[in-house]
Amino acid sequence: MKSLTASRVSTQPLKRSPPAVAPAAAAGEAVVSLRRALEILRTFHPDDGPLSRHEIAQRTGLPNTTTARLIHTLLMLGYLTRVRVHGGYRPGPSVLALGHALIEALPFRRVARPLMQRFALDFNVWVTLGTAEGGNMLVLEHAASPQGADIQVRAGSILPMASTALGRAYLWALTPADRAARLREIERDGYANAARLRHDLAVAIAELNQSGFCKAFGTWRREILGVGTPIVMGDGRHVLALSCGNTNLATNARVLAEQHGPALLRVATDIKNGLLQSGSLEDL
Amino acid sequence: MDAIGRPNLTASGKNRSVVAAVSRGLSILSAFSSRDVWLGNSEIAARTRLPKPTVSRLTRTLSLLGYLHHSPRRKQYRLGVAVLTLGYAVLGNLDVRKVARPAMQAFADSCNALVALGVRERLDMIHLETCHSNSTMLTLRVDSGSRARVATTAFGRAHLAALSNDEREAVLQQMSQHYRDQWPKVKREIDQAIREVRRQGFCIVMGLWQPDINAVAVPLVCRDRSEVLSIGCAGSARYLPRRRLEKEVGPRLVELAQRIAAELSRRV
Repeated sequence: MKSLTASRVSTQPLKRSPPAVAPAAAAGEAVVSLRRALEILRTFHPDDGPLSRHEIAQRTGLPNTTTARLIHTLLMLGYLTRVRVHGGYRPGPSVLALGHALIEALPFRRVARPLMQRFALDFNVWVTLGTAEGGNMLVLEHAASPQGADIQVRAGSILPMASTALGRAYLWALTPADRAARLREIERDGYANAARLRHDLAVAIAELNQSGFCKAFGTWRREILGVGTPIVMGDGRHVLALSCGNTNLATNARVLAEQHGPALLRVATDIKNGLLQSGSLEDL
Repeated sequence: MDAIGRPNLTASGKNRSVVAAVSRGLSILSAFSSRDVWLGNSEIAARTRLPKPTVSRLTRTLSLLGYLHHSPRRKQYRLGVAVLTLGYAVLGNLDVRKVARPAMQAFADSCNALVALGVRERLDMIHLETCHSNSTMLTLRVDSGSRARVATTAFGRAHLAALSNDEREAVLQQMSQHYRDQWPKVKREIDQAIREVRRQGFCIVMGLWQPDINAVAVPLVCRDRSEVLSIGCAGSARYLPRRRLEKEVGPRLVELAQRIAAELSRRV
């Protein structure tokens, strides 16, 4: 399986806003520490190697002494591991156990994965299921055809919202007010050209309204073509997005638009039905 | 370390409460598992041995931050999707997993067994990589991230055998407080397993994890990385009777561990 090693998933680290919390509720030094410790874990990116204490302090903006204390606590509970040869740290086995516990608890892997794998094989594309988290799209599940190309994406990967088909499909499902707020955040992060962003999104919204899926051709990575569709459940309370893609060497815009897009809608429906059958929506 | 292996926080003054909140918050997240998907505050308090008001405060905070999800109907919490942002994606790419996987899968297929690579986290072994044969796929439900007890699995006991004396003593001390009345028996079995590993390189456990499941395990020591992992093989007693474990599978597993360790050393 070829993988796109020439380019990273993102050319610069994505702005990862910490989850928004009402200030009153987050008050208290103890709570601040917990939030900071979790922020330390959030700074690790699959493309990084181990990070030194200094690098962690830089990325989080925390003082060195604070960072050292938090790192020590994270080490004690297995959320960080010391990489002795390198002298740095990486996420530890408790992170793996936590992710595993979540994946087992939620029906996404169980329900979506077989459908996504089948689709990837049939159409020779990669398929991604995600939801919004912290201003970006969080990948819940990813599948690819063994023979085809694949991007280095897996459960827990972060993708940008504005430039991917996955993210645009999600944005469509928001109310206009929420969407506008989200766009302002994206623009404020300086990630995209504002005018271009609004134009591209308007086009994507129109595509979704008309055909049920949107395109992102070369807008995330120049050589990648993708289509995406939302999966909305519970009257909009739960919004997922499903996308598929390939490189412009292996496919073209027409095939994606005419074949993959409509087929993606069918998979999305099957996934949605599977999730509805798997249990109470409230539990999602 | 206290009874269940939580760190005693020795920072002084202001530092104590700051670090304590982190430790407690993380303990709460760790209380959730594939078995315990939904937990209420009382249940979390029982499992973490934290005071209930502390738990209520922290679960509310974790919920507001997105790491826990509250169900008003159930009056319980489950993990929130945000826990996937805590470095989980980084761990899919670990060197040791990539290096070990092909050989582990071939081994699993050849024995009709499960082969797993694991690392210790306090009193649990956490599976880093698991390779199933067709016959174990449905019956042995473990996957990357699953936990198993160090004290009562071949997986864990092989790991203990390879620790330094000091480290092992520290772990055994924590275990004695955890297992209490059962400790003498558990300790005897651990000692036995350690003797086996020293003598022949592997230890065998029969029917302890599940009644019909036998297991053999070998420590995997990455010298250059100073890490002690464990590699284990488990399957039905039908395919893995004791004799086969002793004569064939155990020795082959020792070789497999050596090959993986050598490959990892080359890559450093």
